[in-house]
Amino acid sequence: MAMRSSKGLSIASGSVIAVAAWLLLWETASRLELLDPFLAPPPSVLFTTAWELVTEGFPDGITMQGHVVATLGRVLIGFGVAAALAIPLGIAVGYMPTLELLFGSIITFGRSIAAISVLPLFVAWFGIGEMSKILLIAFAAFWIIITYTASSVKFVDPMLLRAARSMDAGEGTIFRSVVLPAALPRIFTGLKVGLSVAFLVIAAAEMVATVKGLGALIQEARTSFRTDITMVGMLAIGVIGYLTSKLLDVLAGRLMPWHRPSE
Amino acid sequence: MAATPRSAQSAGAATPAQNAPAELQLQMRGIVIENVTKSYLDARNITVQALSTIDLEIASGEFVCLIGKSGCGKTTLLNIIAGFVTPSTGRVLVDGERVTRPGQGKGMVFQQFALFPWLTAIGNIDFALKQRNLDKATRQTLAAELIGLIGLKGFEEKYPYQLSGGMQQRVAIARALAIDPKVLLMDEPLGALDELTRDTLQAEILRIWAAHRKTIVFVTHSVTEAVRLADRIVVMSAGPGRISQIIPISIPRPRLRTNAEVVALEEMVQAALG
Repeated sequence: MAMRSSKGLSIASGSVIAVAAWLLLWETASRLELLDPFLAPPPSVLFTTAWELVTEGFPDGITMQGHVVATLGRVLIGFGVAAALAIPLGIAVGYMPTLELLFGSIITFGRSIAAISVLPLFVAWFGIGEMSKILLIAFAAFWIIITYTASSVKFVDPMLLRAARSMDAGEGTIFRSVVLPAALPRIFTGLKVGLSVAFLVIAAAEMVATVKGLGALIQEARTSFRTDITMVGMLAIGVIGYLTSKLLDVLAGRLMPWHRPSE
Repeated sequence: MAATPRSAQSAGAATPAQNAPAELQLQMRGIVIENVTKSYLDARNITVQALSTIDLEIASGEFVCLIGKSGCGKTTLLNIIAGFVTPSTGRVLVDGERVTRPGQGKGMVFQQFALFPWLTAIGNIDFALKQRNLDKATRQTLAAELIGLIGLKGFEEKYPYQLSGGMQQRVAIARALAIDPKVLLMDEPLGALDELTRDTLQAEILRIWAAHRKTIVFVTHSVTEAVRLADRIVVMSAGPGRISQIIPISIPRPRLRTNAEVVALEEMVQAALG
């Protein structure tokens, strides 16, 4: 235990050193004009830009906090809708071979469609408001989560099922007390991948008819030739993506204290 | 009882002559394997005979080791006794009751332990007790007894990943005993453990067997292990899987490897394996 935490600490301090070194190198290269300061603005400029975004906002006085809240809201609602539909459906498809026969190929098919390519359709169907943005995120995350969930249920270790049957456990008990808990770690993996996909499509979802949200911010920055704002927006998406993913890890740790973190 | 003469006939290959003693066997305790064969179709639709006719009787309380090289059908035979695999012909009776499915008092111990990772040591044992519809107080008493029996006091609340392989297998044995089984079926239970742990657990299994006198069918590919444990060694050979020799052992336990008789017996079993 002590070994693990000291190793964790050294990994953390290691990545801090790596990031600091990288920023320093970047700043120096930019100051020496080895890098075009317009195409690759140095970290010092990015910090100033970020501060301006927080205090003054861009465009039209929409602050960074406003963009983050808008994006986070869309991602979490879209992701929530996807999870609420995909987990029960995935469990049913994974548990019942007939359903898998019926829907297995549809899931593979749906997963292969790039979410961004359905954006024009969603705009036509649901308008240019919040609905089409949230549904695009939900669409993207849904196929990922249902795929992981169905396979988690289908590929439960057959030895665990045999063990339960040898104890005369009925099918209901096996489903509730063996299949579901055995599937949980992989369902969580599906949620994590689904969440990262939700953040991948947010930039595209926010390119239509909005100025609020980190995707919209990046789009606005492009039309005003503000590479510095594009970079800050990009980094902000990365940071909240990272933090929400860590939040899911914490939740997984709480729900599955029996699960080895390395697995 | 399901095992009437009518159901014996439905087993196919049973002749009327073999049906007659079936009525008597209904009363018999232990395991009766009658005329069991197993064949299946492989990927190219060719019939493969995994087991040719197997007849074997195992007395109540007896410790039998099934030994043989891979492909001899020892695990298939164990899975047929367990009810995981349906024989192509013939039948298996456990305490006179025909095996039609897993459960029915057949405790299983697997090579890879098969503990539920989301349940603690005591939780795994309690899972088995719950299937017997016992009240909570009785379950607690029995679980504590079983934890004591396997020597894991103080580890009740540990999850499987926090236990060593040997400890996990002890929990799995306790869980199998928790269903109060008529027989204990063990499929290479010590195969995944290191030499030292295997040695300790062999002694543990003998101690538990001596205390409970459950009938044990134990699959192994280790000659030393079979000679140390069994009342009888059933040697199986492949192509198709069959019993090639049955070797009863009368050497009293503990059977130390310094004993010349034990060494001679090991050589004999080794020779029988070919």
